[in-house]
Amino acid sequence: MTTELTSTSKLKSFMPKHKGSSALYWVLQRVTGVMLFILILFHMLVNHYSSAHLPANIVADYGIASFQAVQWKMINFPLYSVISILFVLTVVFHMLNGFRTVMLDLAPGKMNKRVLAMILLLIGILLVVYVAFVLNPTVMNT
Amino acid sequence: MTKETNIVEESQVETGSKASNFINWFNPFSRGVGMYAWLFQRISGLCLLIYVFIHMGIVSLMVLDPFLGLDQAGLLYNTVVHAMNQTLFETGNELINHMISLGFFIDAGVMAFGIYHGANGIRVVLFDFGIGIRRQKTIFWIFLVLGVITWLSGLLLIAMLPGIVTGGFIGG
Repeated sequence: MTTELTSTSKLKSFMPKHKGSSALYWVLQRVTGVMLFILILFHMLVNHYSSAHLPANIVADYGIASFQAVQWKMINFPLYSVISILFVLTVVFHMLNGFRTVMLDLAPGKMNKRVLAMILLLIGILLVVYVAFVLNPTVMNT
Repeated sequence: MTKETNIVEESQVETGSKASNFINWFNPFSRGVGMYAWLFQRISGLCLLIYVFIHMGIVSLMVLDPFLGLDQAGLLYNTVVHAMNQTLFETGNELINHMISLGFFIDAGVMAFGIYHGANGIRVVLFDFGIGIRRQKTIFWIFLVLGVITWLSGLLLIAMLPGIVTGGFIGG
């Protein structure tokens, strides 16, 4: 019972106490930042350097980061697509929220803040939908 | 109910304006290390924002071939990436040939900004947890040295690659 209480209170200390203070975005910016540190390492190693498990003819004929290599990874490792989608979601949130942080230093009014947030949300949704389409294995299997 | 006040405006009103303050603004040593760390965090973040859009655009060339009527899948992407990694002028050394290409310059810049942004970001998160608050400048220099070492080894790693796309492009 006591362990449950402490765990919930620990979680609560991360949640903002005031509505509309954007403190949750501040926390999420830190969380996604640390996630990106790991995900970018994964992205670089898997996409650009690793030729492990790849058929030798793909590396020899087309190269490590060619379309054919990416396609092969996407078909044979379902986890690759899942991590890629997670990576894109994290990057899009981190970069758009970071841009919002920069813009908030210009001290915009309440209305401008809301319009900015709406525009960034729209850009984010469009980007994620577009990349989900690009990473779709049915498109990649042409 | 607390009354909302604009802190920025009030502080600007209270600031005394002197000619020496104006001249001091142009003195690069009038600001501390932390100020520059914050400034470059912003600049690198905005540059990486632009890079991510360009990167997504180039990578999504992968799926454009069927819409453009090209017979071989991935032809457009392979051609673009191969062209970007072509050497700008031929030298005797193969390692140096790899290093003077448009792709290598872009990669070097992105790696420099990315490593700085990541290292400084980790530093900021450490301070948020209360780790090393009294040693902020020391930690900055340590992270900068570690970042430069990572960057140089990354550059060497890229240059040693035989080419990330070696076939399957137009004219290849």
